[in-house]
Amino acid sequence: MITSLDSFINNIISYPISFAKSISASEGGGTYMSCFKSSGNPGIGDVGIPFDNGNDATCSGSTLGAIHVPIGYEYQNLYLIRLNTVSSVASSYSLYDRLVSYTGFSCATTGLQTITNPSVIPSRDSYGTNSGYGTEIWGEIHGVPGATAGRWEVYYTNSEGISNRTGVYFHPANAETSGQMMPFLLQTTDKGVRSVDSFRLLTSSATTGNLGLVILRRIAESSNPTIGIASNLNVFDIGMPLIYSGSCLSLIQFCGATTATQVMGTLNFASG
Amino acid sequence: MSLPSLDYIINNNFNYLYQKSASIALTNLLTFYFQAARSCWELAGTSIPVGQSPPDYTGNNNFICDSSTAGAMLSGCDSTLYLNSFKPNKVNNTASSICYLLVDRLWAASGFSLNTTGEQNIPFFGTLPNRDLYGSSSGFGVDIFIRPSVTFGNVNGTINVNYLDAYDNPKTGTFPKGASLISNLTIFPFGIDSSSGIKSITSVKFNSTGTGVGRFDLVIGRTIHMTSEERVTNKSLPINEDVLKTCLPIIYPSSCLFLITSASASSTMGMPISCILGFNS
Repeated sequence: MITSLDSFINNIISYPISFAKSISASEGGGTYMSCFKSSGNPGIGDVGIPFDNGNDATCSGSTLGAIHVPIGYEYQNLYLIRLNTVSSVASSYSLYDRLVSYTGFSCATTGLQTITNPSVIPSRDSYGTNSGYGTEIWGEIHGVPGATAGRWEVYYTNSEGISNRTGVYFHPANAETSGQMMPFLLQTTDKGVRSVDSFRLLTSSATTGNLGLVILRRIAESSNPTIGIASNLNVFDIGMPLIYSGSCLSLIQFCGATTATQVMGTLNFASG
Repeated sequence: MSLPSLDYIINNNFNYLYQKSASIALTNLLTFYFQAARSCWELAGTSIPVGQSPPDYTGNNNFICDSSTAGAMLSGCDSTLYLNSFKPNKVNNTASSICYLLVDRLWAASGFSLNTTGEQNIPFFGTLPNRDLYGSSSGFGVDIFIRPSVTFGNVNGTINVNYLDAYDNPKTGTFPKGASLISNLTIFPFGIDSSSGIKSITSVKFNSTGTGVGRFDLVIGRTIHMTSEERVTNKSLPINEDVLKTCLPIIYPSSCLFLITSASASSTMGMPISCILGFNS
Protein backbone atom coordinates (compact mmCIF):
# COMPACT_ATOMS: atom_id res chain seq x y z
CA MET A 1 0.00 0.00 0.00
CA ILE A 2 1.38 3.37 -0.98
CA THR A 3 0.65 5.81 1.84
CA SER A 4 3.21 8.56 1.41
CA LEU A 5 5.61 10.11 -1.04
CA ASP A 6 8.42 8.10 0.48
CA SER A 7 6.59 4.81 0.07
CA PHE A 8 5.71 5.88 -3.47
CA ILE A 9 9.38 6.52 -4.24
CA ASN A 10 10.33 3.23 -2.64
CA ASN A 11 7.81 1.29 -4.73
CA ILE A 12 8.60 2.75 -8.13
CA ILE A 13 9.49 0.00 -10.60
CA SER A 14 12.51 1.33 -12.45
CA TYR A 15 11.70 -0.48 -15.70
CA PRO A 16 9.78 1.82 -18.06
CA ILE A 17 7.83 -0.16 -20.64
CA SER A 18 8.01 1.19 -24.18
CA PHE A 19 5.53 0.74 -26.99
CA ALA A 20 5.41 1.88 -30.62
CA LYS A 21 2.52 1.35 -33.01
CA SER A 22 1.94 2.07 -36.66
CA ILE A 23 -1.79 2.75 -37.12
CA SER A 24 -3.48 2.67 -40.50
CA ALA A 25 -5.26 5.70 -41.91
CA SER A 26 -8.52 6.27 -40.10
CA GLU A 27 -11.97 7.22 -41.32
CA GLY A 28 -11.33 10.78 -40.17
CA GLY A 29 -11.18 13.10 -37.22
CA GLY A 30 -13.54 12.09 -34.43
CA THR A 31 -13.28 8.38 -35.11
CA TYR A 32 -11.41 5.74 -33.12
CA MET A 33 -8.73 3.29 -34.20
CA SER A 34 -7.48 0.13 -32.53
CA CYS A 35 -3.81 0.12 -31.62
CA PHE A 36 -4.22 -3.50 -30.53
CA LYS A 37 -4.91 -4.51 -34.13
CA SER A 38 -1.98 -2.45 -35.47
CA SER A 39 1.58 -3.58 -36.13
CA GLY A 40 4.56 -2.47 -34.11
CA ASN A 41 5.78 -3.22 -30.66
CA PRO A 42 3.96 -5.12 -29.27
CA GLY A 43 2.96 -6.84 -32.46
CA ILE A 44 -0.51 -7.26 -33.92
CA GLY A 45 -2.87 -8.53 -31.25
CA ASP A 46 -4.99 -11.64 -31.06
CA VAL A 47 -8.39 -10.06 -31.57
CA GLY A 48 -10.31 -12.91 -29.93
CA ILE A 49 -12.16 -16.12 -30.58
CA PRO A 50 -15.20 -16.70 -32.82
CA PHE A 51 -18.35 -15.88 -30.87
CA ASP A 52 -19.96 -19.23 -31.56
CA ASN A 53 -17.23 -21.66 -30.51
CA GLY A 54 -18.01 -21.60 -26.79
CA ASN A 55 -14.47 -21.12 -25.55
CA ASP A 56 -13.16 -18.73 -22.94
CA ALA A 57 -12.86 -15.25 -24.47
CA THR A 58 -11.21 -13.48 -21.57
CA CYS A 59 -7.97 -11.62 -22.22
CA SER A 60 -4.87 -11.46 -20.07
CA GLY A 61 -1.35 -10.08 -20.04
CA SER A 62 -0.19 -13.08 -22.03
CA THR A 63 -2.66 -12.40 -24.84
CA LEU A 64 -0.74 -11.70 -28.04
CA GLY A 65 -0.57 -7.95 -28.55
CA ALA A 66 -0.87 -6.88 -24.92
CA ILE A 67 1.54 -4.22 -23.68
CA HIS A 68 3.32 -6.17 -21.01
CA VAL A 69 4.08 -5.06 -17.50
CA PRO A 70 7.63 -5.54 -16.16
CA ILE A 71 8.72 -9.15 -15.86
CA GLY A 72 8.42 -10.31 -12.28
CA TYR A 73 5.40 -8.09 -11.64
CA GLU A 74 2.82 -9.92 -13.77
CA TYR A 75 1.01 -11.50 -10.85
CA GLN A 76 0.36 -8.52 -8.62
CA ASN A 77 -1.66 -5.35 -8.79
CA LEU A 78 0.32 -2.33 -9.91
CA TYR A 79 -0.24 1.40 -10.07
CA LEU A 80 0.21 3.37 -13.27
CA ILE A 81 2.42 6.30 -12.34
CA ARG A 82 3.36 7.78 -15.71
CA LEU A 83 1.84 7.74 -19.17
CA ASN A 84 3.90 9.16 -22.01
CA THR A 85 2.79 9.31 -25.65
CA VAL A 86 4.09 11.09 -28.72
CA SER A 87 2.19 10.94 -31.98
CA SER A 88 2.87 11.76 -35.63
CA VAL A 89 -0.74 12.96 -36.01
CA ALA A 90 -2.71 15.09 -33.58
CA SER A 91 -4.64 12.53 -31.54
CA SER A 92 -5.64 11.44 -28.08
CA TYR A 93 -5.00 7.99 -26.69
CA SER A 94 -6.88 5.93 -24.16
CA LEU A 95 -5.01 3.23 -22.27
CA TYR A 96 -7.37 0.39 -21.50
CA ASP A 97 -7.55 -3.13 -20.14
CA ARG A 98 -9.02 -5.57 -22.66
CA LEU A 99 -11.22 -7.92 -20.65
CA VAL A 100 -13.22 -10.05 -23.11
CA SER A 101 -12.88 -10.20 -26.87
CA TYR A 102 -14.99 -11.95 -29.51
CA THR A 103 -14.69 -12.02 -33.28
CA GLY A 104 -16.79 -13.04 -36.23
CA PHE A 105 -19.99 -11.02 -35.97
CA SER A 106 -21.32 -10.61 -39.48
CA CYS A 107 -22.35 -7.27 -40.94
CA ALA A 108 -24.27 -9.04 -43.67
CA THR A 109 -27.24 -10.38 -41.78
CA THR A 110 -30.01 -9.00 -39.60
CA GLY A 111 -30.37 -12.26 -37.69
CA LEU A 112 -29.56 -12.48 -33.99
CA GLN A 113 -25.97 -13.65 -33.50
CA THR A 114 -25.87 -15.34 -30.10
CA ILE A 115 -22.63 -15.96 -28.27
CA THR A 116 -22.16 -19.54 -27.19
CA ASN A 117 -21.36 -19.72 -23.48
CA PRO A 118 -20.64 -15.99 -22.98
CA SER A 119 -17.54 -15.25 -20.90
CA VAL A 120 -17.91 -13.17 -17.76
CA ILE A 121 -15.19 -10.57 -17.40
CA PRO A 122 -12.20 -11.42 -15.20
CA SER A 123 -11.95 -9.64 -11.84
CA ARG A 124 -10.60 -6.45 -13.34
CA ASP A 125 -13.52 -4.00 -13.37
CA SER A 126 -13.09 -0.59 -11.71
CA TYR A 127 -13.17 -2.21 -8.26
CA GLY A 128 -11.23 -5.35 -9.07
CA THR A 129 -14.34 -7.53 -9.23
CA ASN A 130 -15.99 -9.43 -12.06
CA SER A 131 -19.26 -7.50 -11.71
CA GLY A 132 -18.39 -5.16 -14.54
CA TYR A 133 -18.55 -1.73 -12.93
CA GLY A 134 -16.90 0.89 -15.13
CA THR A 135 -16.55 -1.35 -18.15
CA GLU A 136 -17.75 -0.70 -21.69
CA ILE A 137 -18.51 -2.54 -24.92
CA TRP A 138 -16.61 -1.47 -28.02
CA GLY A 139 -16.87 -2.74 -31.56
CA GLU A 140 -13.71 -3.41 -33.54
CA ILE A 141 -13.98 -3.59 -37.32
CA HIS A 142 -12.19 -6.62 -38.75
CA GLY A 143 -13.81 -6.70 -42.19
CA VAL A 144 -15.06 -3.47 -43.75
CA PRO A 145 -18.87 -3.25 -43.76
CA GLY A 146 -21.04 -1.42 -46.24
CA ALA A 147 -22.20 2.17 -46.20
CA THR A 148 -25.88 1.79 -45.42
CA ALA A 149 -26.92 3.61 -42.28
CA GLY A 150 -28.31 1.37 -39.59
CA ARG A 151 -28.66 0.61 -35.92
CA TRP A 152 -26.40 -2.04 -34.43
CA GLU A 153 -27.36 -3.52 -31.08
CA VAL A 154 -25.57 -5.62 -28.49
CA TYR A 155 -27.42 -7.45 -25.74
CA TYR A 156 -25.54 -7.81 -22.51
CA THR A 157 -25.68 -8.52 -18.79
CA ASN A 158 -24.96 -5.40 -16.79
CA SER A 159 -22.86 -4.97 -13.66
CA GLU A 160 -25.95 -5.59 -11.47
CA GLY A 161 -26.40 -9.00 -13.08
CA ILE A 162 -29.46 -7.98 -15.11
CA SER A 163 -29.48 -9.65 -18.52
CA ASN A 164 -30.89 -8.64 -21.89
CA ARG A 165 -29.77 -5.04 -21.64
CA THR A 166 -29.34 -3.23 -24.94
CA GLY A 167 -26.33 -1.28 -26.17
CA VAL A 168 -26.50 0.74 -29.37
CA TYR A 169 -24.17 1.94 -32.09
CA PHE A 170 -25.61 4.11 -34.83
CA HIS A 171 -23.79 2.97 -37.93
CA PRO A 172 -23.50 5.96 -40.29
CA ALA A 173 -24.04 5.92 -44.04
CA ASN A 174 -20.34 5.42 -44.41
CA ALA A 175 -18.21 2.30 -44.32
CA GLU A 176 -15.87 2.07 -41.34
CA THR A 177 -12.18 1.40 -41.81
CA SER A 178 -10.61 -1.91 -40.84
CA GLY A 179 -9.29 -1.45 -37.34
CA GLN A 180 -11.81 1.24 -36.46
CA MET A 181 -13.37 0.97 -33.02
CA MET A 182 -16.65 2.36 -31.80
CA PRO A 183 -18.26 2.50 -28.36
CA PHE A 184 -21.73 1.09 -27.85
CA LEU A 185 -24.00 3.28 -25.76
CA LEU A 186 -25.13 1.32 -22.73
CA GLN A 187 -28.74 1.25 -21.66
CA THR A 188 -29.75 4.18 -19.45
CA THR A 189 -28.71 3.83 -15.78
CA ASP A 190 -26.29 0.98 -16.45
CA LYS A 191 -22.88 1.30 -14.80
CA GLY A 192 -21.01 -1.35 -16.71
CA VAL A 193 -20.97 -4.70 -18.44
CA ARG A 194 -20.48 -8.18 -17.00
CA SER A 195 -20.86 -10.15 -20.22
CA VAL A 196 -21.94 -9.58 -23.79
CA ASP A 197 -24.49 -12.13 -24.94
CA SER A 198 -25.57 -11.42 -28.51
CA PHE A 199 -25.41 -8.97 -31.38
CA ARG A 200 -27.76 -7.88 -34.15
CA LEU A 201 -27.92 -5.41 -37.02
CA LEU A 202 -31.39 -3.91 -37.15
CA THR A 203 -30.58 -2.77 -40.67
CA SER A 204 -28.18 -4.80 -42.75
CA SER A 205 -25.35 -2.47 -43.67
CA ALA A 206 -24.18 -4.48 -46.64
CA THR A 207 -23.50 -7.97 -47.79
CA THR A 208 -20.02 -8.08 -46.38
CA GLY A 209 -17.90 -7.18 -43.38
CA ASN A 210 -17.52 -8.38 -39.85
CA LEU A 211 -16.56 -7.05 -36.48
CA GLY A 212 -15.41 -8.03 -33.04
CA LEU A 213 -16.87 -7.03 -29.69
CA VAL A 214 -14.65 -6.10 -26.79
CA ILE A 215 -15.46 -5.49 -23.14
CA LEU A 216 -12.84 -3.13 -21.78
CA ARG A 217 -12.02 -0.82 -18.91
CA ARG A 218 -10.47 2.52 -19.72
CA ILE A 219 -7.62 3.41 -17.37
CA ALA A 220 -6.02 6.69 -18.41
CA GLU A 221 -6.00 9.10 -21.31
CA SER A 222 -3.37 11.28 -22.88
CA SER A 223 -3.67 14.02 -25.46
CA ASN A 224 -1.23 14.88 -28.24
CA PRO A 225 -2.70 17.95 -29.92
CA THR A 226 0.50 18.71 -31.83
CA ILE A 227 2.73 16.46 -33.88
CA GLY A 228 5.82 15.41 -32.02
CA ILE A 229 4.87 16.98 -28.73
CA ALA A 230 4.80 14.33 -26.09
CA SER A 231 2.15 14.09 -23.44
CA ASN A 232 3.92 13.42 -20.16
CA LEU A 233 1.45 12.64 -17.42
CA ASN A 234 2.83 12.03 -13.97
CA VAL A 235 1.32 10.16 -11.05
CA PHE A 236 -0.85 13.06 -9.97
CA ASP A 237 -1.99 13.87 -13.50
CA ILE A 238 -3.38 10.38 -14.00
CA GLY A 239 -4.45 9.67 -10.43
CA MET A 240 -2.39 6.52 -9.93
CA PRO A 241 -4.98 4.10 -11.36
CA LEU A 242 -4.76 0.43 -10.47
CA ILE A 243 -3.54 -2.03 -13.06
CA TYR A 244 -4.89 -5.37 -11.93
CA SER A 245 -2.90 -8.55 -12.10
CA GLY A 246 -3.22 -10.11 -15.53
CA SER A 247 -4.31 -6.94 -17.32
CA CYS A 248 -4.28 -6.94 -21.11
CA LEU A 249 -3.17 -3.37 -21.81
CA SER A 250 -3.56 -1.58 -25.10
CA LEU A 251 -4.48 1.79 -26.58
CA ILE A 252 -7.35 3.28 -28.54
CA GLN A 253 -6.50 6.21 -30.78
CA PHE A 254 -9.00 9.08 -30.77
CA CYS A 255 -8.18 10.30 -34.26
CA GLY A 256 -7.62 13.90 -35.16
CA ALA A 257 -7.29 13.30 -38.89
CA THR A 258 -7.48 10.62 -41.58
CA THR A 259 -3.72 10.30 -41.80
CA ALA A 260 -1.95 7.08 -40.84
CA THR A 261 -0.31 7.53 -37.47
CA GLN A 262 2.78 6.44 -35.62
CA VAL A 263 2.59 6.58 -31.85
CA MET A 264 5.24 5.69 -29.35
CA GLY A 265 5.53 6.10 -25.64
CA THR A 266 6.28 4.64 -22.27
CA LEU A 267 4.43 3.44 -19.20
CA ASN A 268 5.82 3.48 -15.69
CA PHE A 269 4.47 1.47 -12.79
CA ALA A 270 4.72 1.25 -9.02
CA SER A 271 4.03 -1.75 -6.85
CA GLY A 272 2.77 -1.80 -3.31
CA MET B 1 12.06 -1.37 -6.20
CA SER B 2 14.00 1.83 -6.53
CA LEU B 3 15.26 4.27 -3.91
CA PRO B 4 14.16 4.49 -0.27
CA SER B 5 12.84 8.03 0.08
CA LEU B 6 12.70 11.60 -1.15
CA ASP B 7 15.30 12.51 1.45
CA TYR B 8 17.65 9.97 -0.06
CA ILE B 9 17.16 11.42 -3.53
CA ILE B 10 17.87 14.94 -2.30
CA ASN B 11 20.90 13.92 -0.27
CA ASN B 12 22.48 11.78 -2.96
CA ASN B 13 21.77 13.71 -6.11
CA PHE B 14 24.43 14.73 -8.59
CA ASN B 15 23.94 16.71 -11.78
CA TYR B 16 25.60 16.22 -15.13
CA LEU B 17 25.78 18.63 -18.08
CA TYR B 18 25.48 17.27 -21.62
CA GLN B 19 25.90 19.82 -24.37
CA LYS B 20 26.03 19.28 -28.10
CA SER B 21 26.82 21.80 -30.77
CA ALA B 22 23.89 21.45 -33.20
CA SER B 23 21.57 18.63 -32.43
CA ILE B 24 18.68 19.23 -34.74
CA ALA B 25 19.21 20.02 -38.37
CA LEU B 26 16.71 18.28 -40.54
CA THR B 27 16.26 18.69 -44.24
CA ASN B 28 14.32 15.57 -45.14
CA LEU B 29 11.48 14.20 -43.12
CA LEU B 30 10.35 10.64 -43.19
CA THR B 31 7.57 9.98 -40.79
CA PHE B 32 7.93 6.64 -39.20
CA TYR B 33 7.61 5.93 -35.54
CA PHE B 34 8.03 9.60 -35.02
CA GLN B 35 9.26 12.52 -37.04
CA ALA B 36 12.75 12.39 -38.45
CA ALA B 37 15.10 12.21 -35.54
CA ARG B 38 18.67 13.21 -35.02
CA SER B 39 21.38 11.31 -33.24
CA CYS B 40 23.50 13.51 -30.99
CA TRP B 41 26.16 10.79 -31.03
CA GLU B 42 27.85 12.11 -34.15
CA LEU B 43 27.98 15.72 -32.96
CA ALA B 44 30.71 17.70 -31.27
CA GLY B 45 30.11 18.77 -27.70
CA THR B 46 31.68 21.15 -25.25
CA SER B 47 32.79 18.42 -22.88
CA ILE B 48 31.95 15.29 -24.82
CA PRO B 49 33.72 14.30 -28.02
CA VAL B 50 32.12 13.17 -31.24
CA GLY B 51 30.97 9.61 -30.74
CA GLN B 52 33.16 6.77 -31.85
CA SER B 53 32.31 5.43 -35.31
CA PRO B 54 31.03 1.86 -35.18
CA PRO B 55 33.19 -0.91 -36.63
CA ASP B 56 32.30 -2.60 -39.89
CA TYR B 57 29.70 -5.34 -39.56
CA THR B 58 31.64 -7.88 -41.60
CA GLY B 59 34.62 -8.12 -39.25
CA ASN B 60 35.13 -9.94 -35.97
CA ASN B 61 35.00 -6.64 -34.13
CA ASN B 62 33.90 -5.38 -30.76
CA PHE B 63 30.50 -3.89 -31.44
CA ILE B 64 29.66 -3.33 -27.78
CA CYS B 65 29.34 0.23 -26.54
CA ASP B 66 29.90 1.19 -22.92
CA SER B 67 30.78 4.18 -20.78
CA SER B 68 34.37 4.08 -22.02
CA THR B 69 33.30 4.46 -25.65
CA ALA B 70 34.15 7.93 -26.92
CA GLY B 71 31.00 10.05 -26.99
CA ALA B 72 29.25 8.47 -24.00
CA MET B 73 27.86 10.59 -21.19
CA LEU B 74 29.31 9.95 -17.74
CA SER B 75 32.52 8.66 -19.24
CA GLY B 76 33.90 5.71 -17.32
CA CYS B 77 30.97 5.50 -14.89
CA ASP B 78 30.49 1.93 -13.67
CA SER B 79 27.79 2.44 -11.02
CA THR B 80 24.10 1.67 -11.09
CA LEU B 81 22.25 4.97 -11.36
CA TYR B 82 18.68 6.23 -11.36
CA LEU B 83 17.58 9.24 -13.41
CA ASN B 84 15.83 11.66 -11.04
CA SER B 85 15.63 14.76 -13.23
CA PHE B 86 15.90 15.59 -16.90
CA LYS B 87 16.26 19.17 -18.11
CA PRO B 88 16.99 19.51 -21.83
CA ASN B 89 16.93 22.89 -23.48
CA LYS B 90 17.33 23.84 -27.12
CA VAL B 91 19.25 27.05 -27.60
CA ASN B 92 18.09 28.35 -30.93
CA ASN B 93 15.02 30.05 -32.32
CA THR B 94 13.49 27.79 -34.94
CA ALA B 95 9.79 27.23 -34.40
CA SER B 96 9.55 23.63 -33.39
CA SER B 97 8.87 21.34 -30.50
CA ILE B 98 11.63 18.94 -29.66
CA CYS B 99 11.19 15.41 -28.37
CA TYR B 100 14.16 13.98 -26.47
CA LEU B 101 15.08 10.35 -25.97
CA LEU B 102 17.76 9.35 -23.50
CA VAL B 103 19.16 6.10 -24.87
CA ASP B 104 21.68 3.54 -23.67
CA ARG B 105 23.71 2.51 -26.73
CA LEU B 106 24.39 -1.20 -26.39
CA TRP B 107 25.71 -2.29 -29.77
CA ALA B 108 26.58 -0.57 -33.04
CA ALA B 109 27.92 -1.64 -36.44
CA SER B 110 28.54 0.21 -39.66
CA GLY B 111 28.93 -0.55 -43.35
CA PHE B 112 25.46 -1.72 -44.34
CA SER B 113 24.70 -0.72 -47.89
CA LEU B 114 21.82 0.07 -50.21
CA ASN B 115 24.07 -0.62 -53.18
CA THR B 116 23.06 -4.25 -53.11
CA THR B 117 19.87 -6.23 -52.73
CA GLY B 118 21.80 -9.24 -51.46
CA GLU B 119 21.70 -10.55 -47.91
CA GLN B 120 24.19 -8.75 -45.66
CA ASN B 121 25.00 -11.24 -42.94
CA ILE B 122 26.53 -10.31 -39.62
CA PRO B 123 28.97 -13.14 -38.96
CA PHE B 124 30.23 -12.06 -35.55
CA PHE B 125 27.35 -10.37 -33.74
CA GLY B 126 28.58 -11.40 -30.30
CA THR B 127 26.41 -10.97 -27.20
CA LEU B 128 24.69 -7.85 -25.94
CA PRO B 129 25.97 -6.44 -22.64
CA ASN B 130 23.90 -7.02 -19.50
CA ARG B 131 22.01 -3.79 -19.93
CA ASP B 132 18.62 -4.68 -21.38
CA LEU B 133 15.53 -3.55 -19.49
CA TYR B 134 16.18 -6.06 -16.73
CA GLY B 135 19.96 -5.95 -16.69
CA SER B 136 20.40 -9.11 -18.75
CA SER B 137 21.85 -9.79 -22.20
CA SER B 138 18.58 -11.20 -23.56
CA GLY B 139 17.61 -7.92 -25.17
CA PHE B 140 14.31 -7.22 -23.43
CA GLY B 141 12.96 -3.76 -24.13
CA VAL B 142 15.62 -2.70 -26.63
CA ASP B 143 15.13 -1.29 -30.12
CA ILE B 144 17.04 -1.28 -33.39
CA PHE B 145 17.87 2.14 -34.83
CA ILE B 146 19.06 2.85 -38.35
CA ARG B 147 21.49 5.73 -38.83
CA PRO B 148 22.35 6.69 -42.42
CA SER B 149 26.06 7.41 -42.74
CA VAL B 150 25.89 8.22 -46.46
CA THR B 151 22.73 9.96 -47.64
CA PHE B 152 20.17 7.55 -49.05
CA GLY B 153 19.30 7.90 -52.70
CA ASN B 154 15.97 8.27 -54.37
CA VAL B 155 15.02 4.59 -54.66
CA ASN B 156 11.94 2.93 -53.23
CA GLY B 157 12.33 -0.20 -51.21
CA THR B 158 12.16 -1.85 -47.84
CA ILE B 159 15.07 -2.47 -45.54
CA ASN B 160 14.54 -5.64 -43.57
CA VAL B 161 16.48 -6.67 -40.50
CA ASN B 162 16.35 -10.30 -39.45
CA TYR B 163 16.84 -10.74 -35.74
CA LEU B 164 16.22 -12.99 -32.76
CA ASP B 165 13.87 -11.53 -30.19
CA ALA B 166 14.48 -11.75 -26.46
CA TYR B 167 12.95 -15.26 -26.42
CA ASP B 168 15.13 -16.46 -29.33
CA ASN B 169 12.29 -16.33 -31.84
CA PRO B 170 13.37 -15.31 -35.35
CA LYS B 171 11.70 -12.05 -36.35
CA THR B 172 11.97 -9.45 -39.09
CA GLY B 173 12.00 -5.71 -38.62
CA THR B 174 10.98 -3.42 -41.45
CA PHE B 175 12.03 0.04 -42.45
CA PRO B 176 10.07 1.52 -45.37
CA LYS B 177 12.67 3.31 -47.42
CA GLY B 178 10.59 5.76 -49.45
CA ALA B 179 11.58 7.42 -52.69
CA SER B 180 12.58 10.63 -51.00
CA LEU B 181 16.11 11.21 -49.91
CA ILE B 182 16.98 10.53 -46.33
CA SER B 183 19.65 12.71 -44.87
CA ASN B 184 22.70 11.28 -43.19
CA LEU B 185 21.84 13.55 -40.29
CA THR B 186 19.00 11.35 -39.16
CA ILE B 187 18.30 8.25 -37.11
CA PHE B 188 15.14 6.15 -37.05
CA PRO B 189 13.83 3.32 -34.96
CA PHE B 190 13.10 0.20 -36.96
CA GLY B 191 9.61 -1.20 -36.96
CA ILE B 192 10.10 -4.33 -34.94
CA ASP B 193 7.25 -6.74 -34.58
CA SER B 194 7.85 -8.09 -31.16
CA SER B 195 6.70 -7.50 -27.64
CA SER B 196 10.00 -8.55 -26.14
CA GLY B 197 13.08 -6.99 -27.75
CA ILE B 198 16.19 -7.94 -29.70
CA LYS B 199 18.79 -10.46 -28.63
CA SER B 200 20.85 -10.40 -31.82
CA ILE B 201 20.74 -9.31 -35.45
CA THR B 202 21.51 -11.94 -38.06
CA SER B 203 21.26 -10.10 -41.37
CA VAL B 204 20.06 -7.08 -43.31
CA LYS B 205 18.49 -6.99 -46.75
CA PHE B 206 17.40 -4.16 -49.02
CA ASN B 207 14.30 -5.31 -50.87
CA SER B 208 14.01 -3.21 -53.99
CA THR B 209 13.61 -3.53 -57.72
CA GLY B 210 16.96 -1.84 -58.12
CA THR B 211 19.97 -1.01 -56.08
CA GLY B 212 20.18 2.30 -54.37
CA VAL B 213 22.69 4.67 -52.95
CA GLY B 214 23.61 5.04 -49.33
CA ARG B 215 25.18 3.37 -46.37
CA PHE B 216 24.02 3.06 -42.80
CA ASP B 217 24.84 2.01 -39.28
CA LEU B 218 22.65 -0.12 -37.08
CA VAL B 219 22.42 0.68 -33.38
CA ILE B 220 20.76 -1.38 -30.68
CA GLY B 221 19.67 0.84 -27.86
CA ARG B 222 17.41 0.95 -24.83
CA THR B 223 15.30 4.07 -24.42
CA ILE B 224 15.58 5.08 -20.80
CA HIS B 225 13.45 8.18 -20.85
CA MET B 226 11.45 10.15 -23.38
CA THR B 227 9.93 13.58 -23.11
CA SER B 228 9.33 16.73 -25.14
CA GLU B 229 8.62 20.40 -25.03
CA GLU B 230 4.95 20.98 -24.39
CA ARG B 231 4.32 23.45 -27.18
CA VAL B 232 5.77 24.68 -30.45
CA THR B 233 7.94 27.66 -29.83
CA ASN B 234 10.61 29.57 -31.61
CA LYS B 235 12.25 30.40 -28.33
CA SER B 236 14.10 28.40 -25.84
CA LEU B 237 11.64 26.40 -23.77
CA PRO B 238 13.43 24.42 -21.10
CA ILE B 239 11.93 21.23 -19.77
CA ASN B 240 12.23 20.64 -16.06
CA GLU B 241 11.24 17.09 -15.29
CA ASP B 242 11.55 15.95 -11.72
CA VAL B 243 11.38 12.54 -10.16
CA LEU B 244 7.62 12.32 -10.68
CA LYS B 245 8.15 12.57 -14.43
CA THR B 246 11.30 10.48 -14.77
CA CYS B 247 10.04 7.74 -12.42
CA LEU B 248 13.63 6.80 -11.62
CA PRO B 249 14.49 4.56 -14.57
CA ILE B 250 17.47 2.36 -13.84
CA ILE B 251 20.77 2.96 -15.62
CA TYR B 252 23.03 -0.05 -15.46
CA PRO B 253 26.78 0.07 -14.77
CA SER B 254 28.90 1.14 -17.75
CA SER B 255 25.92 2.40 -19.75
CA CYS B 256 26.71 4.34 -22.91
CA LEU B 257 24.22 7.20 -22.73
CA PHE B 258 23.41 9.63 -25.51
CA LEU B 259 20.48 11.68 -26.75
CA ILE B 260 18.26 11.33 -29.78
CA THR B 261 16.21 14.37 -30.66
CA SER B 262 13.15 14.63 -32.85
CA ALA B 263 11.64 17.84 -34.18
CA SER B 264 7.96 18.51 -34.80
CA ALA B 265 8.83 20.45 -37.95
CA SER B 266 11.51 20.29 -40.58
CA SER B 267 14.31 22.75 -40.21
CA THR B 268 17.58 23.39 -41.91
CA MET B 269 18.92 25.25 -38.93
CA GLY B 270 20.98 23.71 -36.25
CA MET B 271 19.71 23.84 -32.70
CA PRO B 272 22.40 23.27 -30.14
CA ILE B 273 21.06 21.62 -27.04
CA SER B 274 22.05 21.76 -23.46
CA CYS B 275 20.82 19.13 -21.06
CA ILE B 276 21.24 18.80 -17.33
CA LEU B 277 20.56 15.35 -15.97
CA GLY B 278 20.17 14.49 -12.30
CA PHE B 279 21.21 11.07 -11.05
CA ASN B 280 21.18 9.05 -7.87
CA SER B 281 23.44 6.15 -7.19
